[in-house]
Amino acid sequence: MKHTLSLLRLFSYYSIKKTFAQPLSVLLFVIAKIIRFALFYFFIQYLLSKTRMLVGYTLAETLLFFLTFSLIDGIAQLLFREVYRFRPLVTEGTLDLVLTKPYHPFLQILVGGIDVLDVIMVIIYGVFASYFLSQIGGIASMSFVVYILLVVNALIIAAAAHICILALGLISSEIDNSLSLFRDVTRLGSLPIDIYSEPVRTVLNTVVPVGVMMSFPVKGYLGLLSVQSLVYSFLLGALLLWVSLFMWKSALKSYQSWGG
Amino acid sequence: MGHDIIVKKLTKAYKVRDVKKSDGIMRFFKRRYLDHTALSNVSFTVDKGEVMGMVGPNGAGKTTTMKMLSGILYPTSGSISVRGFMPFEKKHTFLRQISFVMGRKNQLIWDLPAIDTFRLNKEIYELNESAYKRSLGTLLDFLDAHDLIHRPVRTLSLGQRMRLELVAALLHNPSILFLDEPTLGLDIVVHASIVRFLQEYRREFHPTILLSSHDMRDVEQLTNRLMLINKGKIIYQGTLNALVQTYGTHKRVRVVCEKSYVLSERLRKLVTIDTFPLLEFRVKRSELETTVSQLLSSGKCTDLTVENEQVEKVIEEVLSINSL
Repeated sequence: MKHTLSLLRLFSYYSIKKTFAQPLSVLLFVIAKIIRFALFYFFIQYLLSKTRMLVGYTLAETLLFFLTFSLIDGIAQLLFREVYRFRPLVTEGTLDLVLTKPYHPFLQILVGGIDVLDVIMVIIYGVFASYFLSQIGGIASMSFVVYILLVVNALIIAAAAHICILALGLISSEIDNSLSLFRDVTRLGSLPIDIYSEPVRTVLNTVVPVGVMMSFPVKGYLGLLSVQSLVYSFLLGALLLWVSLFMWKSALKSYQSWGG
Repeated sequence: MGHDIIVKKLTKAYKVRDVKKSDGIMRFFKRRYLDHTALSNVSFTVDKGEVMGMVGPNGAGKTTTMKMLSGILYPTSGSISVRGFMPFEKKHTFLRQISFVMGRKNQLIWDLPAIDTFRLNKEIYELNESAYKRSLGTLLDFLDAHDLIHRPVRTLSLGQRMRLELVAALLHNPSILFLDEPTLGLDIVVHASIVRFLQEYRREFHPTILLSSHDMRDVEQLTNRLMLINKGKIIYQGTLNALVQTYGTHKRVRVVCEKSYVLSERLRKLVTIDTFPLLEFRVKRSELETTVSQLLSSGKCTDLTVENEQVEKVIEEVLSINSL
């Protein structure tokens, strides 16, 4: 474990070093992220200033859904940024050299490129989310624990999705479109999943578990989830992780190693 | 001496999609795959400390073999044992003992100086500070590369990069080394220095090496034994000398002439180089004696040497026989 952490620290350190080799990109990236976040934040405020409630949720609650989505999405990007750089690794054949090293390849290709720029954004999302969590009154402290556990569960599902994308990339070298698809689908969770009518809502809670990822933490916090729903969400997280690892192992067996 | 590598009946077949234009739009729905056999029923062993050369045309199966031996690729059938490990299991104890150098691929971090990759490898292989410093110092001395390690890798030439690639690959002192065309694209000076380095490294540390190269100088200077692969099959295993003796049907006769003279019809057909005063003939072994006497009897030769045929020619001949 100590060895793994020390490698992760070094991978992250080199990733930061590479990022800051291009300071202009850093500046533009952060500005673009802040603008996008601010625009959507004010859009929700504007929307609810006209309607007061969104499918039964107050302004503070709706903003908490959005901030929780941003937080999970931000942490997923922070942790799994290296997946975005996986394609050249496969097509140029450099992945072969990763596979011959004595550490789990996920250490490099999944979490090996922690993006320091996302850290800035995650801190902003975290501060805002904490503020709105405290603004919603009459909530037991146990609800906060449920909220944290469901956020962790959402990150496990995000990890599983990224591992599936890596597996797909390994056998087909297709990464970019799968990632875009994942990002677009998860964006459906930026607002409470209840805004979608049936059967879309059921699909988003089962087949494509965006609801479990993005809406369940706030719903759990607000006490709107049954025990069965909680158990279902954790089992789903574990199942998806198992399926993704199985896919990765199978993909490794089918890997053809491009690039000579 | 024990075997470090034991390969039995190894086969690797790739799935290749069979696309026919005549299928039209249906090709998106009905996918057909063909098996392309990259390696077929191959068996061999490599002894501890031995350097085995792998030679063959592009697509013969050399790199595929190395990739299966290092655990990158999963074999379709057959068995592999490298130091008692099954490579594809990717046990860390096994991976710590090997290193793979690919002439066309970079393990150095492109945007950072090579010293950063070396520090990363120190952590990966859990080298202690003194072992790391000793190993790094020795390798940099060998390769005369002390002044390159603090420059960003992207600013280095191919030759400089290759020297540092070798340092990164050997830092943990691997006992099994896979070298896949390590001298590819290098100029003559760097090429010679890399070969010299590998010779010295081998003498000092005695690793087991599997080397594939299209450059016969590498094979001649570095290997004990040779494996000739064509179309996924081993067509020869043995020493280079035995290969030349067995398959070298011709000899090279080089003559330095005192002055120009007219060759007989028979000799003229055998000439391969004609740059006065040097003449070179490619002569069948069975006709060697007659040819040499004929040349000597002319009384116009100041020097005459008989040499084995070039290895490239012999290999070309063996491959052409096996391609039929």
